[in-house]
Amino acid sequence: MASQLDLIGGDYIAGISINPPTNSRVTSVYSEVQASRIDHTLPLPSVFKTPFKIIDGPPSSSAGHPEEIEKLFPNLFGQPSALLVPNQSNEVSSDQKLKIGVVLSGGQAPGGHNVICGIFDYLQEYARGSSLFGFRGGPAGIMKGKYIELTSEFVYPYRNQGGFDMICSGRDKIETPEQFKQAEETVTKMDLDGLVVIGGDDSNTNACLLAEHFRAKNMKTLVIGCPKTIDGDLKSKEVPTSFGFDTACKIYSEMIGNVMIDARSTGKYYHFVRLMGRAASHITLECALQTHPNITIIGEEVFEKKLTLKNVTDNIVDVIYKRAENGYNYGVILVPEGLIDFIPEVQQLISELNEVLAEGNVDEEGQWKKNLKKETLEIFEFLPQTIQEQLMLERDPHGNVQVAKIETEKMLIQMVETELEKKKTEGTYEREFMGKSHFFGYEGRCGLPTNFDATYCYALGYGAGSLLQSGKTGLISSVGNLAAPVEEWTVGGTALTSLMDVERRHGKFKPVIKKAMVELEGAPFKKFASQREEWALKNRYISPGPIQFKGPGSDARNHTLMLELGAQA
Amino acid sequence: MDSDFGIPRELSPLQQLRSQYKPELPPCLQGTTVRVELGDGTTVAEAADSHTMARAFPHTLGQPLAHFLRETAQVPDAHIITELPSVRVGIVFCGRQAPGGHNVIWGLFEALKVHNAKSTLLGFLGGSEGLFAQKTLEITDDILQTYKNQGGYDLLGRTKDQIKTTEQVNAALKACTDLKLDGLVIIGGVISNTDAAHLAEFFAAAKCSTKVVGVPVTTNGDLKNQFVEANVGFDTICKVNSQLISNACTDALSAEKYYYFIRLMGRKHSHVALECTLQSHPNMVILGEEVAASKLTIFDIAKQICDAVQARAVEDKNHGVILIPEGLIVSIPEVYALLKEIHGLLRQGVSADKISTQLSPWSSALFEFLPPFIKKQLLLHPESDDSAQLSQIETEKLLAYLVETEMNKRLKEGTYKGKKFNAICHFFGYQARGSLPSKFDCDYAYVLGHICYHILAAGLNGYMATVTNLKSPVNKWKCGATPITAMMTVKHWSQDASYTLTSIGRPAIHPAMVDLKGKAYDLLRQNAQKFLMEDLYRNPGPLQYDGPGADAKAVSLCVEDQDYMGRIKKLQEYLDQVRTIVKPGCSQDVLKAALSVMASVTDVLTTISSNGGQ
Repeated sequence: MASQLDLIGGDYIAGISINPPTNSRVTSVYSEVQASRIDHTLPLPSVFKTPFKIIDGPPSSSAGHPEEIEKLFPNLFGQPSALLVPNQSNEVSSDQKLKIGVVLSGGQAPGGHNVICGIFDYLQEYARGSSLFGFRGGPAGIMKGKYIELTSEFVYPYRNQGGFDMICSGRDKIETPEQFKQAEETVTKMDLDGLVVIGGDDSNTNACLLAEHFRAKNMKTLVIGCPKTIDGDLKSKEVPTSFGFDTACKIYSEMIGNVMIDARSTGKYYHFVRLMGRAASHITLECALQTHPNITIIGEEVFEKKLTLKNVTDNIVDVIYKRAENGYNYGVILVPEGLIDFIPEVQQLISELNEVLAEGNVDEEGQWKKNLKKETLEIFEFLPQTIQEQLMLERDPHGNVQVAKIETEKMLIQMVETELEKKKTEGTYEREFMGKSHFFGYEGRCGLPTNFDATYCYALGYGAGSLLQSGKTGLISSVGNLAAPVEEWTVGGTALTSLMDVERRHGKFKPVIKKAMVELEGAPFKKFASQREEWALKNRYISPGPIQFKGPGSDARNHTLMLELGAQA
Repeated sequence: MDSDFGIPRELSPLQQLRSQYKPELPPCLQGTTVRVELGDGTTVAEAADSHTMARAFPHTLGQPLAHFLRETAQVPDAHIITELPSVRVGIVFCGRQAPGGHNVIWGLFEALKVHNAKSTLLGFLGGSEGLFAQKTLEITDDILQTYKNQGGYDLLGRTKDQIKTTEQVNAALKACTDLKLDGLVIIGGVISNTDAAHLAEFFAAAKCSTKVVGVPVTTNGDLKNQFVEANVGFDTICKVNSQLISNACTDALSAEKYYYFIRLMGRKHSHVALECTLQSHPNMVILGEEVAASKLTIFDIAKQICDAVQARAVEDKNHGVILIPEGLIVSIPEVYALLKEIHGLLRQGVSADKISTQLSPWSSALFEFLPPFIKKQLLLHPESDDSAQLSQIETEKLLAYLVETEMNKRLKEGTYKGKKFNAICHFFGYQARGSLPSKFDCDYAYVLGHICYHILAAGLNGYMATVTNLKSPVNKWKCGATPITAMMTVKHWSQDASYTLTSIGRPAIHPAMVDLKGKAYDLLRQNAQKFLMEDLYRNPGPLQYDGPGADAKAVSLCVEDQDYMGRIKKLQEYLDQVRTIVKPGCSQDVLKAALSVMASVTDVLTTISSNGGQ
């Protein structure tokens, strides 16, 4: 049992203890598909089939404000990227037995277990006798010294399986000096040679800070990051995609395709589907490319064109109206979870609400509304009642509006309904509008990883292992050339500092890995933009169907990745 | 034009691949002849209904079971029909779509053409309304190209209207006469097949030569009886739902801080929830049938969940997954009573905002207690068949709300020491209903389509196409036809919000409840405690069409003793053998032995039948 430790407060550092081994998964209840996936052998990039060495590229800079980044990372700034290349003999491998820790940070993404399996197998193959420890429950596990040793038997049931439950995850951050101290003490006591942090943009920033801290203290523990997030917003030239995006999008697209078939069979519903993905609209865009919905709202475009809520509503109403003329009284509309954040007037509203809420003067009679600016109040009143209530909900621990809690799809349905009612009374529209709302999110985070994600993650894990073994720190495991067959994939590491910029928070510069947003000039958006009018009025629905693990198409990669790599027109 | 039914579809690579798949036919349907053996006449399902049934079905009651035979079968009194004239058949989708429905059409089309290339299949566009309006589409192989093995009902579309009122029945009669149809095939669930039986009787009485055939297609899985082992669509949606449920289970286990409350589409009864539980092993499922049997209140249910959450917290588990069938809400006696009052008032024309003031004191107290969002949903107008709009009532949110309130209270009181209770609610419905059909549903529907043709060729009216022994491979499937009247009963009163006032007293196929004495339920009970505490989550994975898992079948199908039709035939064989052995002229000993055995057999059977045992 993981048991008591969670409940004990206070001093964890004093008595670091290896928890009694948590139970591994019970494979006897596995389905046929799960069981067959465990033993599915994963191809590796060919560099791991020969002896290899690591070569360094030119010194790196940062994504912005290099001078500030250099100040924040004096020991790591400018590190070159690393690349594995075939060699006469293996210069990386040695007899040294390594002690490596691994931690999963943030929300689940399909493939996480495979990264761990990749590290494990790498150590087995290239550094026999090494040990791999999994920190339980995310970064808190590092701070509290909660970990388990991962053995071959323990790891086995998780091969090619979804979820993060092998060691679980958490959203804690290692931020304060005390927390850095705790982490330092844990890795010292454990005598760790390396730590792999599997996480999103924030977690990788954190990984780099840890690497810097350890290096500054002359500690031997190296830190390597791995790009995880279904949201797809952690990517760069060297890190073409984050793992989990492929599987999640395929699961959502299966569902969207099903809803399309349902819509067409029933002929009377407009389905508004909100998709997880935080601020960026990558998931929404990818799902649109896979399924061809009638309308797809891309947050970045709304922002770029400075659209108001009214504009967005009117655009939808316009399409519904035109479709009615063609005889279609149904449709499917995709809405990104982060849409609200992109509408400037709503951002204004949220920030004013934040202030009002922070002051705590919210009265039943609504006198507090007088504290809003006139235009802001108008927008607030334009919102449906239920959304007004949602906006007033508590904020998350970071003080942000709980984006996932705002049911944008329901809000849009209500606003579209109101507009169409108006048209009806004017006599210009005579159909019955029935909206159905959906939110696809959690069910995509823990699916069985696709062949792509399973293979990509395994390679990321192998890569992380090789970087640690060759003494690298502050890099993010990078597997490239992903459009090619697996054998031709490149493996290496990219300086985390090279992905960073600074943001000013509370008067201080904070390093951040810039979130990759949907580029309106990028190939995926352009392809979408060139076809969307056709999709809007005619029905060009595509139902990709369930993810297949065997047979034709089972190795297909997502459109976003292929378009960005220029491997698909 | 309401839609673009029947036009070629753009298919994804996987859909294309599936459109190339051709299901296998069981031996009894192969070849170019039709071989039918008619068994004994069927009896009514409930003896007490015999008068009402006889009055309602003077022409179609008591017809025999029909078995279709393989070419090599040695059955002396089988009819072997070799002369098969060309026929004209109409087919219509009734009610909600179910994955696999298209394959019924394809199977029927293939069978028609194999036996006589001049036969015609007309699809009615837009469901029963298309039938009444005689809007047809002639089915061709070209049209079928992009619909073979595909989900949805978009080849022909559907409506949820019934074929029930005098007007509707007359319109159907006129359509069949005008279009010179030899047969009309109705694809649907309990309501549509009930309508099919009544229509068959009506046609027979009107001397209309169109024979009516029903096909059991419904995702709810509630058209179940000794003759019908499974419904087309059930297998697929349970698998799609189970995949999503399992993903939620893994998510819960990974995050260690959420309880998922997942409501499943499936109408009044809990077949889908039970099957999904057996496939994915969530921590808990609240079956409507259990709640109704134990007369639990909504607070009892909430308390059960709270106690489970608390027990898990003691073992340091602060996560879990709880399944809730959408029909649960009408299985709770006091909520059912409340809904009945509300629907009564709505029918009287009382507007929704005034209803709360006109409820009886008991119902009013319950209503006032409920959170606003549920109040709003309970006040919705009932569906066209007068049942509550189950898909719109967010029971999962109601339960999550009640549980959260109670857990916060327990946390304060110190009786609960786990993490703050956190619920995430889901409703899985539409995303499963439109899925690509599973291999099983493709095969089953295709075979049923073929059987429809065989029924019509044998000249049978008022029958449902049936396949038994479904848990075995396709080449072991037994194909037959059952008079729909043999599945019908009469309800003289109803405790059940999903029945209409008008259906009381009218013979109907009633949706089967989850059998609390059945093997599937028993399997759940045996494992319930382990599922609750040990997180034995199982992930059937996404539907597979190739490789491991592609041939998986529903757990509830595989655990039940089935093949009723096969066993009826077996009995027939024994009786025949007895008759041959104990012919006049046989020895005294043989006769004596036969008499004594017969006496005890009849005794046992009399006792069992009078106990109403099954």
